[in-house]
Amino acid sequence: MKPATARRSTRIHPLAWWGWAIALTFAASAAANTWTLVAIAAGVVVVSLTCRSDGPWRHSINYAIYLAATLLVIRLVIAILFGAKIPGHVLFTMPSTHLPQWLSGISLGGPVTSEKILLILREGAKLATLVIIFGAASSLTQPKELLKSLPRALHEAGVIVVVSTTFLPQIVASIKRIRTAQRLRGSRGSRGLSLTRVLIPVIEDALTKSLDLAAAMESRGYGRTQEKHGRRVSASMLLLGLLGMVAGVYLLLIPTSFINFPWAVLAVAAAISIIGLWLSGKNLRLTVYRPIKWNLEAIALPILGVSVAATAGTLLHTNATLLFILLLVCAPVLYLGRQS
Amino acid sequence: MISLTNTSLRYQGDSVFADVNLEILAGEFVLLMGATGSGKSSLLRVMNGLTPHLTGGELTGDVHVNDRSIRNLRPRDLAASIGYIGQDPLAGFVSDRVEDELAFTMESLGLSPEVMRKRVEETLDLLGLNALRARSMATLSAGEQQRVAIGAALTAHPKILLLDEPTSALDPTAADEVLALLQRLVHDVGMTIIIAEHRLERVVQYVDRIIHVHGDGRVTISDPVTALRESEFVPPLIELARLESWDPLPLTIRDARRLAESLRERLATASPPGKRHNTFLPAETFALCDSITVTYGKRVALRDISLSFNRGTISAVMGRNGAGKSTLLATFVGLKSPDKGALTLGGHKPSELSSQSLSRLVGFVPQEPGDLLFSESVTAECEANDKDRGLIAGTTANLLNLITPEIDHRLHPRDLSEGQRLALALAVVAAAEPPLLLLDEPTRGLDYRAKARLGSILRKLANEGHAIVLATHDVELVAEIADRVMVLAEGELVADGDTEEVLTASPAFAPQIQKILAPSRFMTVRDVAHAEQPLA
Repeated sequence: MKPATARRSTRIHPLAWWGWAIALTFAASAAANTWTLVAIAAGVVVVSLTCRSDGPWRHSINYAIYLAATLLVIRLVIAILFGAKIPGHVLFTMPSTHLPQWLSGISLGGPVTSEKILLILREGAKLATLVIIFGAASSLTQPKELLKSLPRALHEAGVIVVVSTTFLPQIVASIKRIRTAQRLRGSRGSRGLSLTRVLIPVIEDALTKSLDLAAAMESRGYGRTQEKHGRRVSASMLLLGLLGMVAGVYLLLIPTSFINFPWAVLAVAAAISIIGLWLSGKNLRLTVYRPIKWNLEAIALPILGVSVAATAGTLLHTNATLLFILLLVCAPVLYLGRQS
Repeated sequence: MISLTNTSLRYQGDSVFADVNLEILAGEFVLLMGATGSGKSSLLRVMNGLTPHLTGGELTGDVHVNDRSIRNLRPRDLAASIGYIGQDPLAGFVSDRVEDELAFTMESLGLSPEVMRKRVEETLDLLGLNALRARSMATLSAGEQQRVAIGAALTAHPKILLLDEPTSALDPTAADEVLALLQRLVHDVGMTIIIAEHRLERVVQYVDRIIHVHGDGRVTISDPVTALRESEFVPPLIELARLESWDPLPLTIRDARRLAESLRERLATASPPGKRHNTFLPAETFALCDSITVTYGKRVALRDISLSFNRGTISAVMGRNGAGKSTLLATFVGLKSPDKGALTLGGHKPSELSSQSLSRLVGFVPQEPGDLLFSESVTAECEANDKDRGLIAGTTANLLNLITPEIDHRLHPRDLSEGQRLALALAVVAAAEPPLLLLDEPTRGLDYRAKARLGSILRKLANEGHAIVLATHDVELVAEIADRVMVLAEGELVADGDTEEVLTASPAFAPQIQKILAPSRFMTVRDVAHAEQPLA
């Protein structure tokens, strides 16, 4: 095992990876060409496989790839069975039936053309790329470290998430332990009966454990800086800001004639939430152990992401641009190297 | 440092203790002793406010820490001055890595990152945890978990440390390590430590004073000699001293050895204790395994083990945490099938039996007896068991009465004392009269009286023809009741023989009496009393 200190000092701020990933999703949505999407997805996979962290979430890129492939296959199958007919070169013909009048909008089976398959793949590529980008981002960062870099006001909520991720496996272990003990009691009877027989000791055990945990957290000072007063102001500001952001996104996606400045709404709402967070964190005397610092490598990541988005959105699609995009996506590998 | 004045605690009208007055001085190492369920843990928790803030109950009188009343302070407000470590350290962990766990309290206290880093490094060195810093909590051994829990409390630089049964889950060596560490904190760092513990033989020699929770509401504090002279619960060492009316009362093996010189001489000529008598004869082998190997994935848990368990015999399986004791039990109850080798129970292979017929051959009492119990009352539990196993109505209840006559059958199993709950689980398992009875760590949390009781029950069952197997760390219990001892280390059988032969040969597993009387082979006070009788 490598010494932990060496690894810790080269940690990249998790928000940098997320910034990079979010910029890449913009690049993917801006890309008009399927090959650009393929280049982005391939680059992302290369980066996440080389630079991923060594925590339990490192495998999420693998699952994301499976998920993306499954989505593509499902889309293909559905389109071949039910999809609209698209003229072109017929590859094979599915048996078709005539559907009743009230289902006339849907066709079942019929000829499958290569144009149709390409269209489906092209449509699916965007979704698959987005899935892969998110999988990569979570395998490159640890959710726990992301929680650590949240604003102070959210620190305690973050602790609860971490505690529950360590507490749940203990409950699973106690279920296993109790089931084996019960089986050796030679329990006979209906399934429902034996379920309650396992459940009652499990619940009792979980209750005892959570009381132990509560005692431990309490005596270790958890929540001692919680400020009772002034919480209301910051909480209502946060709520207002979040509502404003939802409204802004809505206006952005579905333009209305009354309010045609969605970006301004978004910006104001974001500002309100940030002030709310700052206010609620201001009174908390909380600190973070070994916080991850923003270094040059980290700052470069979102910048790289944005430049990919800019390239994909503006440049003409030639083989040279494709290669350039691929290189740009893979750039983190070049200067970060292998992390694990 | 800590003072209680006229402190009383009541839960729902029942008094736990009343009018307690005691004062603990700075830098003292204090032991809290008392029977199971006497209120030791409650008293410990009163000292940092967990009782009544978290557990409820009605507290009167006053509690001062550092000359400040803590009646109106929450435990979290005391986090910087008092560290508290509960019975199950794993249940109290909040992070998944050792290093982050050590920092948790400091994060809540709002210390600067530089200070935190420095203290974490210091604590890692002080407790010898540096090699474990990046490890995940679940992969630590019980002794390591206990040390991390202590470290996590220490980083806040408290003046006082409260520990609730810190060694009950540990093997003798790991327990010694933890206690030596506490001793060092008292002597080198000037920490005040209060520790609640049942296994007095492990702790008594280290402490300055003893708080005795009598169980009838009285709580007294005195020096160890006075406390032990009056106590009903004493480690074997003190029992021997009482038998021999040694004065002053020795607290350490070394003191006792000096006083025992004449006793050793007398015993040298006395007939050795001899083997224990099995009234069940002939000792017929019921369960045996022949060079079995058991693996979990790539990890080999048991390697090439051959042993047998005889009817009428109590066998003890000992060894470090993680040495393979639990795997051995799991293999004999058919939860795990050996990858290599053969295992039979009365001629049957456990893996080929249905769970119904298997439960007629082997009974298993888990470490947590509550795992087996699901009914609303003791009566209902016994009736359900008779029905499940097709026994004549009343069999389980009769057996339970034989084991503990004074148990209240209307109580909910959760409301029983630890010893009574164990007795109920044992009755439930033994009612079907399985020839092989396995018990995993049965004495955790039991006081000396409950342990002596368990010993005589097990002996009775063995005399009726059961083969009994205990997996345990409790050396004194083994010395008292076991006929045979097997020692496992890293999945291999390193010793298998008569209790006397195995225990006396090992410095880690030698019981107190043997340490005092070596080189003679006496292991228990009973043996000594027996040998002394004809002389008197």
